[in-house]
Amino acid sequence: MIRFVRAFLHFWSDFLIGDRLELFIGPIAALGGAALLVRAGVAGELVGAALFIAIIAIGGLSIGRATR
Amino acid sequence: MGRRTDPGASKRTERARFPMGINNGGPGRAEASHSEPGTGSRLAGGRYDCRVSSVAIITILSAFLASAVEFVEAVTIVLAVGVTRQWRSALIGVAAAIVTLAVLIVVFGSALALFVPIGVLRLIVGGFLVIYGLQWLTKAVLRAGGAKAKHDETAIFAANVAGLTDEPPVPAQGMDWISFTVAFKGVLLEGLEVAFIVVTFGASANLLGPAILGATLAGLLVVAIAVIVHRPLERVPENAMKFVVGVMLTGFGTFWSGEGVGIDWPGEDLAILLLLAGYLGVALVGVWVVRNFARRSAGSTLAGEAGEAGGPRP
Repeated sequence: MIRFVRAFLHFWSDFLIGDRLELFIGPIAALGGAALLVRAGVAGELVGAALFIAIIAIGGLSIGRATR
Repeated sequence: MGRRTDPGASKRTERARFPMGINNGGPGRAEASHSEPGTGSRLAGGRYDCRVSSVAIITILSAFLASAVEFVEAVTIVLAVGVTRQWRSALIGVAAAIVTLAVLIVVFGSALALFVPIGVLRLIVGGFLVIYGLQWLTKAVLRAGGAKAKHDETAIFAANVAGLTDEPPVPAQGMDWISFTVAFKGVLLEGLEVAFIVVTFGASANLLGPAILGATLAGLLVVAIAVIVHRPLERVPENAMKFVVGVMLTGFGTFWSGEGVGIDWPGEDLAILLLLAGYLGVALVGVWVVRNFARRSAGSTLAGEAGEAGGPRP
């Protein structure tokens, strides 16, 4: 049973995280930040643009790390 | 989000009735009253407006491309098993994996569409799509830029064949369980990625039917080509397809997860197109940057080696 649970968790961590943790944590952090901005009453256009830029920055960071 | 009225209430009722994205436009339904960003609406008389058709087309295309990439990889495994061991057991393994995947898609897709509130669904699923889409997109950018080796189906096929020849011989009669297991596992693991994309994409857009259609068409096409050519499909532009799917998953994921956290996207569905165009443009620039970086790195490495070897200098 423990082996099955371990294999199951390993599958999902490999599936969603793989070898690049920043691509898992980054979008979650960006969405958290976007939620805070929405709650603070910032306009949808600005929050949307900030989320878009944050996701591009995360992708760029990951590509930068991979090419180093 | 807590201060907002629940925008998903009427939509949830709609989703509960038509979890596969099919509406009947029956009596008592106000015309286009359930218009929903990202899914569009259906007008009286059975006509879809252009938004629902465009999102449906993008959903079919995304599911088709993502599935085609994964099915090509699965076909390579099944071909290796069939060629080196036993076709019958391998094909039974494939059939068992397809049935398992179909059950997973229908059960999880319907459960998500029926029981999870649309706001929560879009936040979680949109977040997963961004994560997954970014993984595909960044890998595709690195491969297109020459910083990462591309998938080589012929080499993967050869490696699979080499691995299978070390196994015990095929039994003279009955099932070859090694063929069954390798084919089942290969198709199931590659297919799980397809199932993940179909379920998340289809459930979020309330278009599970078109997503399943796209995946099925891709499966049929890849299998038909594999049957005809009878060898690994190394000429399929896998990386280009992954690039496009990565852009789509990231774009839609951003839109839906943004809605989930409470962003009112300006222009509603138009924002999806802007996001897709934005990610596509940035990714193409990324390929250009990575290619130049890789070229410069290769140049400096060669120069360094020539210098160390005391070679001729211009």
